[in-house]
Amino acid sequence: MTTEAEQMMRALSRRFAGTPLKPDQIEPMRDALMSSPFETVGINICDKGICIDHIWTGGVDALDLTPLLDDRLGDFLGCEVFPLGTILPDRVRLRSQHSV
Amino acid sequence: MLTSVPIVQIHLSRFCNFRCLHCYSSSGPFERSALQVQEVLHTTAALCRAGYRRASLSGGEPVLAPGFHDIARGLTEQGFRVTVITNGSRPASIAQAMAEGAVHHTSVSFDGPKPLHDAIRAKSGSFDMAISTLRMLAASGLSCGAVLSVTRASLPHIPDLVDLVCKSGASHVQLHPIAATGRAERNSDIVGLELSSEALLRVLAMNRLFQRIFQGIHFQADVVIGADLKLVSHHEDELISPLVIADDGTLLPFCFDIPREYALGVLGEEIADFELGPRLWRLLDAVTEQIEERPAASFYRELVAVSETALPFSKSDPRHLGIAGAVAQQITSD
Repeated sequence: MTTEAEQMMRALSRRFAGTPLKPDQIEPMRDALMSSPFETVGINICDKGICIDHIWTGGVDALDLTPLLDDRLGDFLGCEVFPLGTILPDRVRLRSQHSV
Repeated sequence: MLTSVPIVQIHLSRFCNFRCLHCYSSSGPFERSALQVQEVLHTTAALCRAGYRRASLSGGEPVLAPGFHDIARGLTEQGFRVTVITNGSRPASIAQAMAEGAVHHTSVSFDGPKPLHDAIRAKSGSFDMAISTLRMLAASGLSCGAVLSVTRASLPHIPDLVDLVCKSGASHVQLHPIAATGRAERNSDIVGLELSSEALLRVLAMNRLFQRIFQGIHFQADVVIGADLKLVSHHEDELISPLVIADDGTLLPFCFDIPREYALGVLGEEIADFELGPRLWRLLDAVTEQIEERPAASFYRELVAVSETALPFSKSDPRHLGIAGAVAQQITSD
């Protein structure tokens, strides 16, 4: 991360700490926070449904699968987690399975 | 299950060398309750067989509890990963327990910047002690973090406090909104409790920014977005988590403040299983209904509020129509 980006995020965190959101800012903020933290890297479709491959870079311990349960993708069937090993310990590949 | 890994929280004693204005368990220097080592380890052995693998020691100040070292060591031998939440006033005891391998992670609690922290703890110098303990543990290569109480009074100072604890070596930072229970209920005006849903949303946004700024440090905010809860389904055969062992030996689901009508039993009793079951499943369902339309909420605060109204049934369940007393009676006999 660049110094400028870090400074901007620090300033933003101070603003959130000290200044209430206006009523019309609440819903966009909620939607922004609900957006998936996973990067989608592939989609596989078969006659039973779809599998979506994601990458998560926050480490296995901090992995929260809740965003993958989004019902807009169809009924959630399951999820497989593939840690990418000791070279990239914080990088995890996920495959979520949905029937559609 | 409210946590990703089944966890048991053990409140060893309500004895504490501080008497904090917002203490949810009303702990203090004149409290003498303490759990018996053998009774605790007998029950945790059963919990370990059921699938629990993490234990969090709390209180009061857990390090000052009579059986602290024996219980921590016993839990580790049973296979638990043991965490301690401390006010940071007894660094040598903590460091010894961690060096022995009896405690794996320590979280030091903070209530705001130095003047606010010391005022809430009613102890001058308590902030300096806490920071010093965090730095000492980190410098010794021991796993440590910080739990930051979030109130209306502390919220504006959270970014600076996060910066300080991260620079002091915290590997894990938890932002925890304080609920108005225990002594906090009487002092809610002084410590500025009850953050609005809008303010809790800002806490979540700050948490997301901290994750980006302080890479490599794990951040957790005890706040949920209401709409996210719609996506989480609970099952009756899930393990109750957190499962709480209170200082009087009562086993409680989810949190220390939940009404005792929900108790699963007491230490020494043989408890058949630790699964959610229908009544707790309905309680979680009722909490979800309560907050799913809000931008953000503190799940535990709402859990306590809903459990106290004794309406742990979904609105589609005919038993929802019963008056509070009748429902409470039914829950107890369920």
